Amino acid sequence: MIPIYICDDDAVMCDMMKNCLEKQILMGGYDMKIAVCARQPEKLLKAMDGEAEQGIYFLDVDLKGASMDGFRLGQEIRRRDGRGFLIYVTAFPDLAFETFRYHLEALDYIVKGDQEETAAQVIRCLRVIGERVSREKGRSRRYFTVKAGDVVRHIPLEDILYFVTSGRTHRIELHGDRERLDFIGSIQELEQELGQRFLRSHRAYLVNSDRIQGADLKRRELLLDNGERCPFSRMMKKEMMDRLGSQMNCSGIFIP
Amino acid sequence: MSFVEIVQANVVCMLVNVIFYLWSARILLGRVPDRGRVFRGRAVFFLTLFISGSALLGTVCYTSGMFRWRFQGGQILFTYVQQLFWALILRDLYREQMGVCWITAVFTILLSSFGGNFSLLFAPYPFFHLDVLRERLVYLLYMWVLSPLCQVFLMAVLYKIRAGELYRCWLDRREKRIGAAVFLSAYPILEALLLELSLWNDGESLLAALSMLLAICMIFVYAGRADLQQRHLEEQRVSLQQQTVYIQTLEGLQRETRKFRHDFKNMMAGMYVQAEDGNLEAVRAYIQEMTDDFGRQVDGQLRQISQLANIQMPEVKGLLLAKLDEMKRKEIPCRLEVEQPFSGTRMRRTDLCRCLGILLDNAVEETEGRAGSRVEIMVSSCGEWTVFRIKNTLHSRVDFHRIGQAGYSSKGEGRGIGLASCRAILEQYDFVFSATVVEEGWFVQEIKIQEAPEKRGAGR
Repeated sequence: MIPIYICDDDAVMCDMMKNCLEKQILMGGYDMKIAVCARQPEKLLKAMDGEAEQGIYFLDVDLKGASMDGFRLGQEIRRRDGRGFLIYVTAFPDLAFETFRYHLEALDYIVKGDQEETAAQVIRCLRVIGERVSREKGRSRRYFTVKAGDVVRHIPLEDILYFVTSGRTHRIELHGDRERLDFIGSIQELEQELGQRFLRSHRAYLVNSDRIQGADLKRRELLLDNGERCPFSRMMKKEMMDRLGSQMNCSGIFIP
Repeated sequence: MSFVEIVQANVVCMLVNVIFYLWSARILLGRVPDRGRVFRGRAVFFLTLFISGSALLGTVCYTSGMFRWRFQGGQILFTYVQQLFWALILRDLYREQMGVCWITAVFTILLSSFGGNFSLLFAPYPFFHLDVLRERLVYLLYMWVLSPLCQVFLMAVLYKIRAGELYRCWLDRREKRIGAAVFLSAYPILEALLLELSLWNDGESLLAALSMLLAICMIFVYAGRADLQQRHLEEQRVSLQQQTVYIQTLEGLQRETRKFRHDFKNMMAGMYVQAEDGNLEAVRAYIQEMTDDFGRQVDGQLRQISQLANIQMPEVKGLLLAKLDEMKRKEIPCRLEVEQPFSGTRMRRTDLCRCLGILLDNAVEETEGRAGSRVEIMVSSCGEWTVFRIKNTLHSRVDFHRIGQAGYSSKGEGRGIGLASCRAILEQYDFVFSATVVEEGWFVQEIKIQEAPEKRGAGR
């Protein structure tokens, strides 16, 4: 059961969201339940205590008369639930949503309107969440958490191809399927932290061994499954062959 | 004087000199290199090496008679070697481009020798014979007391006339600095030449050399001033441009309002009829349509202007204005978000503008003429970080891992220089981070600039 949290200072809006969500959960057959429908942010945060599962949050942007606005509340929620789904509810269609998305990884926003319009937007959000959750289900994904600038990102380990040190001091570049970003770190520490799955093929490279497709022994390069190549050092060759447990074929390229 | 004694004296001299070198580099580049304990250790090591190396080399040159070569050949050679090493040290300290480091090194050493020569202007002899005790004492007095005093004075002047600002301004203009750079690099040769000339002319002291130095300084001040004026002009141009846009928007709003007033009357009439019939549903639809219309037309335009007003850096504002205008012309829906006022950053303005320009151009190219395209620009600056995020819909397939390689482009051959050069610019900065993400049909580019150093170890 995925808990749903609602926070809106307006009681009417609160109830409307609650009713709408309950109806949609029933109709869509989603494995979700409404955990709390709070009018103060504190109440919502308190309700989150002891909840381990990632939640869905429908938050009013303005929260009149409360100790924090929707953005601050979002930050607090992110601190407790890094992977939850944040959806903002606003009266104004010109919300600075990209800023919210960047800082809070907010999923979407709903513009307050009549019941019908709100329902349509709620359906859209729930469908996206439902799809994402079912995609993740059954796979116990491990995430690499990285502080990239002023935001924290969670990247599934399987989506990472390799890490490489860059010319600048303490700078690591992450090369993934869908992203490339740099952050401060040391490749030794990364190697220890990530363990067996990642292979230090070279002084500057830490490669995801699940993504290695083969090796070009002549040019001393690893072939990754997306077509990229990473160098490996002579010293690493033996250990690598042992770990990849592979056979060489005649062209000098082996497929593990 | 024995060899060891000379070395010792030279070490002390170099120590004093290096302090001034560092000081003037700090003034010129306008920042302190600050990067943790390991780094500090390394810097101290290199500086020590530099000082002792210079002292030793100087002594060897002196005793072997290299400094008495014709036309000051030895002296010139020595100065160049010293400059080269100092430039390398600056590179390690500041992580600037080698060109910048070289010029800064030349300049710092020039300034220091300027200070030294200035005090020698009052010296009783053009050359000191260090073997004579009296002359040696006078030499040491000049070297250790008067020169540093002159240099302190010089630094104070530099600081006061904001030479650093002018210098950085000049550095920003890459294309124009080559000539001056060559001229400056030739300074040791020129100085020696002038010295030689003045000696021929009956040993007319160092006045000639000094006037030459002064001329160089004047050129710099002049060039810098001209640059500053140029920038002011540019700022004015941008603000004028913005005002034009603002006026256009206001005029548009006025037109819109007038039209709306016209529609409003018609709608009211229509509504009145419907209301008389008791058709509440139709009345509701009317009202909805009216508010939607107004909101869409007026809010959007007002919003964009107020967001732009939050950008207080003229160069960036001008760039964004131009690009927003271009997108409007090419009918690419675009939104700009600047929630907090953004007034400046540690990154050099020209570099920042070049990178942003490249990213925006890419976004425009990708979305131009495509159905359902959209560009979102976000500028977020909250204390420690300034973030530029440019996001556009993705219409062509990209080979993600090849983005940013020189020559790769999703648009065919002969393109793709943009991102590679953007990356090369960002690579120069230790405090700039970049990210490229493809997610759910969007292509996202981020430049993150760390404005205030975080505590070490809190990086991850």
